[in-house]
Amino acid sequence: MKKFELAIVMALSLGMSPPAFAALQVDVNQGNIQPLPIAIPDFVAASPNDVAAGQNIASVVRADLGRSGLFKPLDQKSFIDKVTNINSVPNFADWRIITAQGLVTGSAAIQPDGRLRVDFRLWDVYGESQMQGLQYFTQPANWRRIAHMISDAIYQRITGEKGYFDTRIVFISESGPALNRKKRLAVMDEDGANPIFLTNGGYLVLTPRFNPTAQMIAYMSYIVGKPRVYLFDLESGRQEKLGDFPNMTFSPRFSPDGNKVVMSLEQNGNSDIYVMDLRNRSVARLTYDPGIDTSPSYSPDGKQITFESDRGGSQQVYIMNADGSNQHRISFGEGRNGTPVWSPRGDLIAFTKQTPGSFRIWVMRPDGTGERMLSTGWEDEGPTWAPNGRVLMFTRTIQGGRGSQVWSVDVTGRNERRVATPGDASDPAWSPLIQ
Amino acid sequence: MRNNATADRQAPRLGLIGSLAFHAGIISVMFFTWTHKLDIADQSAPVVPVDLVTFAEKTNIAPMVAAEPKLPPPADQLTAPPLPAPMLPPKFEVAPAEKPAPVPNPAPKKETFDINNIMAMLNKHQVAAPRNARIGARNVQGIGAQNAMTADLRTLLQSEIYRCWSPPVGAPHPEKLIVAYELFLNRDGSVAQPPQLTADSSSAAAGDPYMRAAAEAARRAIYTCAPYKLPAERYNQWHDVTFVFDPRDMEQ
Repeated sequence: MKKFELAIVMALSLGMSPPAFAALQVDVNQGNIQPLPIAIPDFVAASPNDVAAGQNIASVVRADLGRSGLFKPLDQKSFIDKVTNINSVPNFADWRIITAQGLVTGSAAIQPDGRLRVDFRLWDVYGESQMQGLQYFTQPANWRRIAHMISDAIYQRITGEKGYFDTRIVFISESGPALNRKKRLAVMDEDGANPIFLTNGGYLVLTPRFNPTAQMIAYMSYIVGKPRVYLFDLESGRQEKLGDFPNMTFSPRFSPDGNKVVMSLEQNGNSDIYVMDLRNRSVARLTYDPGIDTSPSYSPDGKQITFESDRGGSQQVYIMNADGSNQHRISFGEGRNGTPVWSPRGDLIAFTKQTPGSFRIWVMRPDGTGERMLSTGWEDEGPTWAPNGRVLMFTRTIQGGRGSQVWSVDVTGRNERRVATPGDASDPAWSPLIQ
Repeated sequence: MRNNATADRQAPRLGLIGSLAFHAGIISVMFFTWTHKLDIADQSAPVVPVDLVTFAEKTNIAPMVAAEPKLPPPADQLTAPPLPAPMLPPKFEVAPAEKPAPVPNPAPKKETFDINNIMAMLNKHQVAAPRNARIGARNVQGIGAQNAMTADLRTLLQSEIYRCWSPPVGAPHPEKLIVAYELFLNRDGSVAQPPQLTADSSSAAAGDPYMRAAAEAARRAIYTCAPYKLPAERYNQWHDVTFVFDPRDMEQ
């Protein structure tokens, strides 16, 4: 009995004891979305001959990161510390004064064997530590690709997802008067540099798409009068008609492994989706309904295909298994919805939504939920994803027939901006990261 | 014998009665104490929303104020010796090579706290004060009464940190990017030592680049917002803080 009473007294006493001091927990569920202030001084030159390379590389890295909208490269005029040796720890206090949170130091030097050596280090200014350090060797003419690779490395280290700067864009370059519009197949770097025309404009080309190695392009062309899907090998410049179909083939897109091309085939006014295996050129039909089925796009795992169809009365987005089974509609929002493209990340499908008076780029989850608008133009259509699934490009037609442009937007809907193309352009398709 | 037996039976009964009376007393004291505490909490409640409104408005207007107290010591006090880490040997064409991390900076690290800068910062806030003069007076009353517990401190810290935190929006799974940091603050509101990820956050960040990026973004927020402006007389309530950064409610 006494033990029982003692236990009760002790329990009560414990209950009454004052609480021990614990950490003050603060839940932070609001933020202020801002680009990361980052300082990228010109890369240190090993000799006077390397000065231009050091300046050029840093300039491209600044432009890449700034264009992403996630970084704010700081004005070099504000820099207090001068980087003269990238193997020294920076004077972090000087970089904090100018509000830099990240710092990139680098060097460029032509080696005795004629190659260009580029080093860079990414520093956490407040943590006072190196976040990354990489080194590249290349032919001096490749300096621009090295700059893009450095941008990708910084982007990946800071955001956690792969970059997209060392990529290319294939698009349709447009020139000439409206009644005699010349459309040429063209390729350029993601930042608009190095544009190359692949066709001469003597025939119409549409809907170019990269294969997963970025070495081959599938597109539709009227090269011999009838519209057909062609393959263009970037390395050899060779064009090849894909299959020998009696009727129009269009809207091609590669499978994620690059072994197949899925496309539309028109027969007697009805188009359905077919897939061709590039290894043995065998063809399989995936849809059979009397509606127009087109714009197929694989999921990143290759197991499903999203496409548009008007089988239900209006143009809407559907999904099916890669073998054509389990076809079902996923878009039930307002207006007509078409040109679906599955994100390389797998989490979203981008599409063009047509409502009275506007075409705009939207995204939704693969189950059709979470629809939201990304672009704000008058006529925006034909989305294409960056290989990291974070940014999209699309065609923007300027109101009043004043031509078409390529624009990009972040998947959050922020950072809508025009992409630098030589003249008018449409139908962009983003390549994977260059291997 | 019978009387003795009766007495033996009565002795424990008396003890039981005494014990019950004793416990009843303890319980009544407890009720009194807890009731009193509940009263305190009730009284403090109106103070909290006042703080929230005050600091949110103020910080939205002047988002760059936090950066100014970070003025460091003169450059000549932070000269760093060259890194001993050697460069990697040449690699194949255009092949990126992960280099060994350089040896951590052995240079003497100085606190960035500078009493002159703190005073300058405080003076700036005094300029802004008249906008919130009415609210400020009520606020002082709440703190002076020492009865607001810590809810108002949380609100103060929230309103300071949120303008510095650029959350990881656009990542595929924001629900997996919740980051918790524990840190100790000096009496002047500066960060006493590098903030530490809690065990759960640390293990999550180890294998996931998105999580690592989220953790680093949170740490940058903690540093860039310091020093925190908190009532010095209640230092014992805020010297040990855990920030839980949760991006789920942010626009994706």
